[in-house]
Amino acid sequence: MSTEILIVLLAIPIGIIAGMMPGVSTTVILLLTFPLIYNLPFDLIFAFYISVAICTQFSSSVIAIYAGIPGDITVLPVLKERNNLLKEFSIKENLYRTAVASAIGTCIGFSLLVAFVYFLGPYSIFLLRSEVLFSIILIVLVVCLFWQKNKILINFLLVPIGILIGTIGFNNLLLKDFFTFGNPILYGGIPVLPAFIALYAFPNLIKLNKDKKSFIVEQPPMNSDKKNKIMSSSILGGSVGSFSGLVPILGSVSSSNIAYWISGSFKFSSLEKVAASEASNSAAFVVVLAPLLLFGIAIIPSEVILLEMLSSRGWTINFVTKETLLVLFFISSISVILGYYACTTLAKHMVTFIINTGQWLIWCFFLTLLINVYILSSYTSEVEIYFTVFFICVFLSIFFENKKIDPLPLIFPWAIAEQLIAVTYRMKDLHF
Amino acid sequence: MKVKNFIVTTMATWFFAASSLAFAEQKINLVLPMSPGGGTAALSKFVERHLEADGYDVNLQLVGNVANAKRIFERTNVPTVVAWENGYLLEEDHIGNIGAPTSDDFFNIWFWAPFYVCASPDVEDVLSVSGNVGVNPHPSLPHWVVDSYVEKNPDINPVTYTNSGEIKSALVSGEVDVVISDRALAWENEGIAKCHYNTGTTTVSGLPPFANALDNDSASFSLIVYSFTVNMDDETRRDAQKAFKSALRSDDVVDFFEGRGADQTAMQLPEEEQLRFIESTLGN
Repeated sequence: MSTEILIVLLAIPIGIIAGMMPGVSTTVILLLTFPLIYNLPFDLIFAFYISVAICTQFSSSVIAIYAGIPGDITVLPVLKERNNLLKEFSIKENLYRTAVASAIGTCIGFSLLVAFVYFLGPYSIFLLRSEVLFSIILIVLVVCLFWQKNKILINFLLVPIGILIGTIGFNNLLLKDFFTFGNPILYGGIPVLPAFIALYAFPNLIKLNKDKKSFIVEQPPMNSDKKNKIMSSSILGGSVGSFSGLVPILGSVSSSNIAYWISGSFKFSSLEKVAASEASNSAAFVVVLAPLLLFGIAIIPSEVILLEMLSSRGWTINFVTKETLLVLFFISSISVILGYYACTTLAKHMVTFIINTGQWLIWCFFLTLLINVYILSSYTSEVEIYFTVFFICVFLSIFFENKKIDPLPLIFPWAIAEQLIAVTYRMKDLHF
Repeated sequence: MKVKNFIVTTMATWFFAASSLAFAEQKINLVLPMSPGGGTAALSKFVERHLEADGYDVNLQLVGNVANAKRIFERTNVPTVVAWENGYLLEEDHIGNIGAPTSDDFFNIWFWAPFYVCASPDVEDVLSVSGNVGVNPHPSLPHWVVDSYVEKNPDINPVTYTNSGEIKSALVSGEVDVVISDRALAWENEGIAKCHYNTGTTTVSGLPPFANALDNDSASFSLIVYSFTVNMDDETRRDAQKAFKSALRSDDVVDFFEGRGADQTAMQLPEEEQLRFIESTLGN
């Protein structure tokens, strides 16, 4: 039993390190740790999962704030506000605040998870319906079309291109291939993850060395008034994430962006907007377990892996007891405490370390990105296409950087194009 | 000079160590046209683990779809076991229709399952329910199952979903009233659904035979995942088949199939009988 608990506790350093590595998602961690956790008791497998999810959300903001490198798509609000944050506060202060926001978000998310499992289950089933997913996709597309960082004309060009690229390949729903022109290498589609890494990480890597000297300017600590505002924006974000996280597929990854968008209407400061998005993100990645514990339904890719792992050993929802929630509460509390400690105290040492390094760190990051692209591609044997997309998008990012174009209206439609086709087709079946 | 000697010695050691490792283990690619997360993908993890324990160096590739799998096995020069479905062979223009397996390249059946027709547990007669019916575009799901169901009950409306997980969500949320899926036995155990099924040749759990209820006694009522080999000589294939069958007899795989003993029987049959079983589902 002590070995099993040790394995679960291992999730904390694994999650923290993975969160700082672009492209290494909870899904990838589950796939890599499959042999380690497969034979654990059911409750401990859930504990491992929630611990990795919490810790990755804590640490992904560390590397996003310091180096401007996205661990995943959820830290986009941090990247958007990063320049303002660095002008207003020291890195240490920023990390401290985002860690507080993540801790608040996790607590809210966990409270809602318990509430959903015990009280609100029957009232939240409607969130699983196709109409909800279709509405979310439409909202994402509209936001992309009117993304204020670009000219609207540019957005109206990028969004259809993104959808078109996302459509390429063999469609598992329609059982047909689109725009492959008979080239078998395109059957698997054009993967979005290497593009995401290249379009967001590469420009920031270029700027990393140039900017880092300006990051060390220490700012005075915030006054108590600011602290209160962070608390309220974090509670707002945590509440938003607790509900948006229940939307299948897109909910958890877009929660931070939804909270960021909502916090904009409250005229929050940059730090408050980031706190709201971080809290929302942390809450969403906890509450996402509710449909799994309630109905045995996975709503995000990492949960699909988890569910298959569990059900292949005979797990059903009948195994969910009060002890399950107690174990989750226990491991979540430890993860929040250690995640917070690591991302504030460890980050302080990391910041000092990075400031004292030369060019080689940038190459190390770049190498890490390449290795991650390779790891991602090795799951589907599409090494060539992953690296081709990665390098094309590296050049594209330089072009976008020169023309001051934000790639978001290209990336999001690209990522959701397959879902868009599937859910549109299903809406036609259901209503017409 | 000492440094040079050290480097040369080290490199020579690496080379011989790498060479001996290469000869010690038989390299095998396992190619599956599925994404990580599906039932076959989960089964492949067990198989990978057991084959590696038997001394094979297994490279498991879950390549997402049938078109991608075809591209990969057509280009590889490594001994490869490719998982396939009988349903790919049912449609003439399907990209996965590469012809029925032969005794020269057939490897083994991975599993087979009937298609379950399920509704909420409180529904008395599944065939009388009107409304939306969730199906996935499974190539193994014969069109006649859906067609004959619609014929029986013209008030139903088939709705297409990408996989069994989505279908389960649709059933729970009330988006559909009935579902047809090959993964529903666990749903019945969870109390989410009440299912009817029949394989056409065998009634597995004593539930009412759905095929009979539809007045259709066709045998092509089963999903079969089988595999064939590429670049593999007969001796290697025979050895690997033994190791593979042994893996399918292991406790964890038996548990994976939730005690469906008939599945285990099919997977342990001699290869010739397995081939005949697959052919029986393909019609003429």
